[in-house]
Amino acid sequence: MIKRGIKSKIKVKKQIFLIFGIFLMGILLLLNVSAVCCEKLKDDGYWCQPADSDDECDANYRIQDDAKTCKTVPYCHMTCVNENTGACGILSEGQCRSEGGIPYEEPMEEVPACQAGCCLAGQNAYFPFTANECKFFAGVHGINTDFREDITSYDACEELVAKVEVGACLISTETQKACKIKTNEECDESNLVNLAQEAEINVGILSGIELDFFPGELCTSPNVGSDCARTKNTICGEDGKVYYLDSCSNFANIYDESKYNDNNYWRYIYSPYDIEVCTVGPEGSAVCGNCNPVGNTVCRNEKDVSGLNAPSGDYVCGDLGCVYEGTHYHHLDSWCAGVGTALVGIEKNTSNLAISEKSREELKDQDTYNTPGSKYFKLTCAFGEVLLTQCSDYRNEICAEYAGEDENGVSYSSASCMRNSWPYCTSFTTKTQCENPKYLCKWVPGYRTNAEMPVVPEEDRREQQGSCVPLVPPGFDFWEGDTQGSLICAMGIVKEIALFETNIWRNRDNYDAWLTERNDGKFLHNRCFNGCYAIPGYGIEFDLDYENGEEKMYPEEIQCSEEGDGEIQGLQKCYNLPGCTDYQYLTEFYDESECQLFESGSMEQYHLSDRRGQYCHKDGKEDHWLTGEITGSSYSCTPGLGGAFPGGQTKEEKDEEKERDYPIYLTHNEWLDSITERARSMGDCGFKPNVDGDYSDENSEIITAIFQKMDQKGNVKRNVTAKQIIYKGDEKAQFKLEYIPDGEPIILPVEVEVHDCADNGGTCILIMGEETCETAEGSCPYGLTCCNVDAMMDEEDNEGGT
Amino acid sequence: MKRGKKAQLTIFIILAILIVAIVLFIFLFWPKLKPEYNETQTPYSFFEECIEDSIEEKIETISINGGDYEVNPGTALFYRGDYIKFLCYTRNYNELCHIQVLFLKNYFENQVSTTIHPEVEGCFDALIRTYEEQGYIVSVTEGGIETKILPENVQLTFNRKVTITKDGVTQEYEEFRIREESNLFGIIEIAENIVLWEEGVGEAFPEGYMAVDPYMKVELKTVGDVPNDDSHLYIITDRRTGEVFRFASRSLAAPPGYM
Repeated sequence: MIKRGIKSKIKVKKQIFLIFGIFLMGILLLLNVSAVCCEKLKDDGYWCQPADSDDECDANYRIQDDAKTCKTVPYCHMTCVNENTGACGILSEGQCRSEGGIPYEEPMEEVPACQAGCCLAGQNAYFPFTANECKFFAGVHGINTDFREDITSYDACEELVAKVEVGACLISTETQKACKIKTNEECDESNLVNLAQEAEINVGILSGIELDFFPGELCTSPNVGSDCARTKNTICGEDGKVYYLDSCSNFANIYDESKYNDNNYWRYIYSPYDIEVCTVGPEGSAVCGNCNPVGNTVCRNEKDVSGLNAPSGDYVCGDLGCVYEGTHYHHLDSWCAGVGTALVGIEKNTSNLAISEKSREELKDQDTYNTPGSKYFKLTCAFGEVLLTQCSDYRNEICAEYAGEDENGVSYSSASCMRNSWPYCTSFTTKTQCENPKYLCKWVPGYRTNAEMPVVPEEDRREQQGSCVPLVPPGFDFWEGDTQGSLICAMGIVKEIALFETNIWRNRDNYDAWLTERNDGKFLHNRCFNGCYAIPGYGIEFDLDYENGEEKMYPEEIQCSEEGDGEIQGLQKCYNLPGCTDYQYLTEFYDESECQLFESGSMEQYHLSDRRGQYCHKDGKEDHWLTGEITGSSYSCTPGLGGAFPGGQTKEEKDEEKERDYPIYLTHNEWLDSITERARSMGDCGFKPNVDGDYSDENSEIITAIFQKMDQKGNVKRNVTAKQIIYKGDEKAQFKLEYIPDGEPIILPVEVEVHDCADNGGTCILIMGEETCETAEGSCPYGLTCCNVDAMMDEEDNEGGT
Repeated sequence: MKRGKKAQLTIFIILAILIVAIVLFIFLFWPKLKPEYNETQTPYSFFEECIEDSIEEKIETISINGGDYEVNPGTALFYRGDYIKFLCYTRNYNELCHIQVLFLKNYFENQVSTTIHPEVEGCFDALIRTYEEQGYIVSVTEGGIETKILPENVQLTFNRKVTITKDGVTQEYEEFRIREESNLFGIIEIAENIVLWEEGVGEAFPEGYMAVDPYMKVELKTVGDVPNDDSHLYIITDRRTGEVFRFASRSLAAPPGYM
């Protein structure tokens, strides 16, 4: 329905255009790029680091030229084997040798010394271990080990250990019946010396010692018949549980006060997970020692735990929980905290670990959350202590959390510092890509970041007419001056050209009058025909209802026209339709040339332009445009709506020809909100308060305007005004910009741009469509071309121009 | 008369000050006033007593520095007045780190052996001097130092042979061995594993280690005193022994304003 673009030759009377822009202070930074990979740096001795030049490398080691990173340099990734311990890893060759290892070029999985298997060590098994690691482990722990290279998975290794029989190993002499809990392999003649030493039996009489193994039984079992007896003594196990001790200092079963007198409990070995064994809740217990460190309890001396007194022994299952700001957390629970305007309590979905829709909605408010200085923290309850981890600075990470219940119905919370994926955002060009839950980005309808196609076809506008910006604006070290943050903030700068016509009865230079007539300056609003939304006050009666959360909609999303009360003289009425807002009427009006906004009266009553499609093709000449005279809702260049059309065109076809692009924004406030949201979301950009509530410089976010006179060809004839600030930051205005009706001369602390077109005798002008100009030396603001105007004027005179 | 009383008072005050000073002197310096040697001490116990504090100090310093006794500031994170060694590092932003020390246990052991050397020499010199003062003829052979970090202790073996002779009686003492109770073995295993995570994914997850061993405290700090650094500082504390091991890593560091 909408035809994009306008043709190059436009006949207009007098035009004045304004250039509006939102400027954020910024200075570009030159980035250094590393060029070599040093196996070792000369000065600080780091291994395998990128460097700018060979000079930074230690000449005794290798240097790889043309490498921005060492990640792809083979000699930095050799397999290094420590033959003493059996450990394997990836290091550079020189580094490996310096650590006493042997380097191999082959990948680790192809180096025989690094082949992983299962290391059986007593009642435990370890995977993945190399053969040498297993051997080293045996030496270090003073136990026998068995390496099984045929076992190639953790589960298979676990299965092996499950088959290991554990039981009472009776070590008998004529006078003693000592006992130790061992595996059947450990309770073997070959291990007699160790067993005797452990049982404190004189090793001088080894010949008289007998060994008997009782699988699954404790040393206190009558069947074993050892000297060991049950006691009420307890001890902490390596697994954090409380165990009974027998009189021979052997670990017996889990401490359970109710089972002390249970003979079977002192006869057989019970697994802590056996149904017979008591369990402990997250609050802890003084009578059951089956603590669960993951479930908030661990073996602790009763002296260190208040409110729990063990009837037997010194140890209890103590509560490891913490109380933080009145909330009780369990051991290893974690939650989020923040400084300043960090949004505490960002919810994370357990299914896909993306943050919830509710939190995304909250985060969209870049003025309220994540302003400069705000930071995220993760707090973790560990052993009754709250540990603090700061998420990566500059909001490169945010903290998100989720709360759930474990299989026992015990509630828990888990937080994590999530990487802020903001750098991806500007690469997304569609709304769907942008709002992918995997990324922390948001879609701001309006300007696109792709300058090559600022306006997309109608069918794509909902998906593509907008910018993808960070949902959590990152922080920058803006106080440092020359930083990359300035570069990113500069992405928030936009420029807009508003074109309007005046007539000879108006004081065309009366910029001041125009500005002071913001609310009554309907003349300019009515006479505007391009970029009208950049003119203050434009469409003020039709603004989005921000207070009630109304969001921008596109015509195809609005259903009200179908329910309208019919057509009036061939025009469909947009207004007064059920369920629609003023903004929606306006949306329909701009979309449909045959849609009438008012039943009676003219547009001149409102701050709107009715020049929706004021230019049309000259009949039969698609490259020739005519200005139309407006009469009500018809234009002289499309005479006789409903009547005959030249060239056999249908009414719709004719309408299409007179339409301009559907405007990106419909009202000035919509434009203002969009560009400020877009700019402020880029990071610590624009006019924002920091964590202490102090605002940045009021000039850190400004909108400037310049009035220029154009001729009918669109060439700038002269500047009517100097560039002036018409909006700037205002601490009192709750994140809105302060409007300066009379304009303010630009005296900025930092020179944002320097353009030397005029210095070279050129003029910066807007080249529309396929127009060209003889270019002059020098630079211009974005969107304008430095042209040699004199040459153009000469050419125009020769052509007998307007 | 008045003058006499005044003089008496002055004497009392001086005496009181002297008594307090003597008491203080004894209280503060008594351990140092003890003789270095007593008759029941063997060269083993003499040496152990002499070197023990130094060993503890070396181990503690190396532990809190990340594996080096003296850290090169160029390879360290400056954190609250201390330099802490990077065990995994990359200069680049948004890149996984390269391991700087792979066999950390060996590295630590070598650091202890190397840095304790001057104190060991000092102790053997003291031993010679002390025994010679007692009329012994003393000889000490040269030998290396071997440090082993074992599951429940750190063991240092000094391969020296001390021979003392007095009144025609010669006694030989070989292999001076000292064990310090320690869980460094477990702590370093965690540190080595964290380094692998840093190298592999850019960050480790402290809760995992605390779930396996609740008595172990593993903290991750992301703030260095160096601005824009985005380095990771890990602090591993064994709540049972109070031992602390700290080290730094710089992996997948995100700069301000650019990724």
